[in-house]
Amino acid sequence: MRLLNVSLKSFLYYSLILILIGIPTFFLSIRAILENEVDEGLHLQREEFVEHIKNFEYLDDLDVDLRVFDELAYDQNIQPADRYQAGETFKTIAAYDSLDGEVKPYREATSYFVVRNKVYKLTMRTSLVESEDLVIVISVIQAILMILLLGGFLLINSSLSQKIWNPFYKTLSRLKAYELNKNEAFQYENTNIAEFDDLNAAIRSLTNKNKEVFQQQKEFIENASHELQTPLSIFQSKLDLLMQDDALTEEQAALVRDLINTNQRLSKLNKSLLLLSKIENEQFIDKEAIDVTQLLRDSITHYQELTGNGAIDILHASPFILQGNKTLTDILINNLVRNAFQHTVHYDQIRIYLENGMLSIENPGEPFREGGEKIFDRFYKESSHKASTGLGLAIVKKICDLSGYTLTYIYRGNKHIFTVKF
Amino acid sequence: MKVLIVEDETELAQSIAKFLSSESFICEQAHSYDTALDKICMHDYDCILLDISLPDGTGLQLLEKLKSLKKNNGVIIVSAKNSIDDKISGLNLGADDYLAKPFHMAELTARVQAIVRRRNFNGSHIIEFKEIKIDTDAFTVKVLDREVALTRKEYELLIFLISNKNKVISKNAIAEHLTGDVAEVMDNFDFIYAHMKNLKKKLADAGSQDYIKTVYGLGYKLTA
Repeated sequence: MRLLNVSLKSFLYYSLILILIGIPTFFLSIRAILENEVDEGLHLQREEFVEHIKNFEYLDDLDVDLRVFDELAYDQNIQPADRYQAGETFKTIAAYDSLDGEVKPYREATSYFVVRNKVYKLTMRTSLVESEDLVIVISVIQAILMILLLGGFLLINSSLSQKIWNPFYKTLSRLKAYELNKNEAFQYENTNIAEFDDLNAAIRSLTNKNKEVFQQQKEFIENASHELQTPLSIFQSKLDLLMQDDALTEEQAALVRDLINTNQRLSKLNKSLLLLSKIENEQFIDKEAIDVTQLLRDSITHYQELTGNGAIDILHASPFILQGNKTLTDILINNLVRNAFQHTVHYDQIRIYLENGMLSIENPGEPFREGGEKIFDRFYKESSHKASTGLGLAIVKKICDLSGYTLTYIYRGNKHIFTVKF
Repeated sequence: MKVLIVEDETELAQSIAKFLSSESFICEQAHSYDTALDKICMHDYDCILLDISLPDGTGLQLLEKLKSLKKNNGVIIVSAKNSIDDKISGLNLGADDYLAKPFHMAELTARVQAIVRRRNFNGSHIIEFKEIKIDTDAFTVKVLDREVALTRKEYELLIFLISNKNKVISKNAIAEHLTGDVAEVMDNFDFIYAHMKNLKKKLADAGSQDYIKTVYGLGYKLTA
C-alpha cells in the first residue's frame, strides 16, 4: 500500500463515520427544530384565537357560532369538553387529505379554553408536508456535499501522489538500479523539497561511503594475495630444499609430499583469488580481436594427456573472431574446459559446441544436490575434489558479467551444460 | 657460471642460492636495489634473477640500467605481482623470461639453464648427460649417437630432468612444467607416470642405462 493511501484511508474512514453519524443527526435535529417552530406557530395561533374569541363573549349564541366555526374551519376543531385542562399537548398525526387523496403528516395541538363558563376543547393542526420536504432537501444537499468532499479527496490524492511523490519514486528507481561495483556516484536532481533533498543527499553519502569500503575491500584482497605470494614462495623453496635431503626416511618423504601438495593448493587458491580481485578491479580492459576457435583448440590440447588418442572435437566450429580482452577470454575458456574435465571421468563424453557466437560445453555427471543456483558462488564446492579451488566458475561468472556475455547453466539428460553467449 | 639473485626476501634468496649452488652455479645475492646496482656495474653474470619490487627501487629500473650498460646477461624476472603489465614491460626491456611466485625450484633451475644455454653461443645448444645427447636446436635426442624418437612431452621431461640432475623433482613440479595450469585437473599424476615409463623404456631400448630413480612418493631424480 502506498504511503499516501494510508493517510487517505484514515481520512476516508473518518469522513464515512462522520457522514453516518452526521446525516441522521442532522436530519433528526432539523426535524426537531422545525417541529418546534410549527408547535410555536400553533401555540401563537391558539393564543390569538382564544383572545379573539374573548372579544365575542357578549354574543349570546356564541356556542352556536363556535359550532359553525368548527364546521367551516378546515384545520380547527372546537368541541365542548367536560373539564378544563391547562396547557397544550402536541402530537404528529397522519390524516387523510381529501384534496390529494392521500394520507399526510400533520402536527396537532390540543388545548382547552373557557368561554362564558363553558369549556371547549380546541384542536388545531398544521400540515407538516413542507417541513418534511425541507428536511429531505437539506439532507440531499448534505449528502451531495459529502460525496463531493470524498471524491475531491481521492482526486487530489492521486494527483498529489503523482506530483509530490514524483522525486521520491525517481530516487527509488535510481537506487534500485544502483550497483556498488560500478564505479559511478549516485546521481540526483534538486527537488526543492527539503525532505527529498535530504534523502538524496543522505543516499549519496551512504553510497559513497559504501563504495569506498567496497573499494578498500577489493584492494585489500588483492594486496593480501600479493603479500601471501612471498611467504608461499619461501615455503615452497624450503620444501624443495628439504626434498633434496638424502637422509629422508620414507615416512618423512610422505610428510614432505603432503606438505608440497598442500602448499600447491594454497598457491593455486591464492593465485585464483588474486586473479578474481584483479578482474574485479578492472585491470583487464584492453580489447583486441580474438580468435575464439583457436583459443578453444589450444585449451583442449592441454587435455590430450587425459583423452589419449580420442581427441575432443569442437562441434560446428566456424572461425569466430571476437572483440574482447584476450587474457580474460583465455581464462574464461580454460576455466570452462577445465571444469568439464575436472568433474567427469568420461572424458570421451565431453562435448564442446561453438556456433553463432555461442560456446557450449557439456560434461556428463550427477545432478547437483542443491540445484544449480550456487555453482557460480565463490568457494562453493559440490564435489570434494582436492584440486578444485572453488573459484574457477566464480571467475568465469565475473568475466562474463564484466564483458557483457551471458552465462547460463542447465542440467539436462545427465549432463551439465554451460553456455556462454558472446 | 655466475648468477645474481636480486631479491629483498633474504630467506627466499638464500634458498634459491642454496639450490642453484649445488648445480655448478656460483650465486651472489643482492637484497636491495643499491647493492644490486653495485654488483651489476662491477661484475658480469650469466644470469640475473630479478624481483620486481625492491624496497629502494624496482627491478624494471635495474633492467633499464642493464640495457644502458650493454651487459650480455640473461634476466629472469621473478615477481609476486603476476601482473601482465610487468611481464610485458619486463620482456620489452630485455628480460628473457618471467616467473611468477610461488614457483618450484626445479622450474627455476630449468629456466636458468635454458637461458644460459641460449646466451652462450659456443655450441651449448647441446646438452649432454652420460651417453645421452640432446640438440636443443634440432630437437633431437641421441643415445650413443643413435637417435631416439621422443614425443614432445617426453623430450621436455628429459630436458627438465637433466636440468635438475641429482635433484629430487616433485611430481607437482613436473606436472606444472609439462602442462601449466592444467595440472590441477589431474590430481592423480598418472599421466606423469605414463610419460616417465615411456621415456625410460625408449632410453633403455636405445642402450642407455637407467638413470631415473623414483624417490618414495615424492617424485623423480636423475642421477648418474
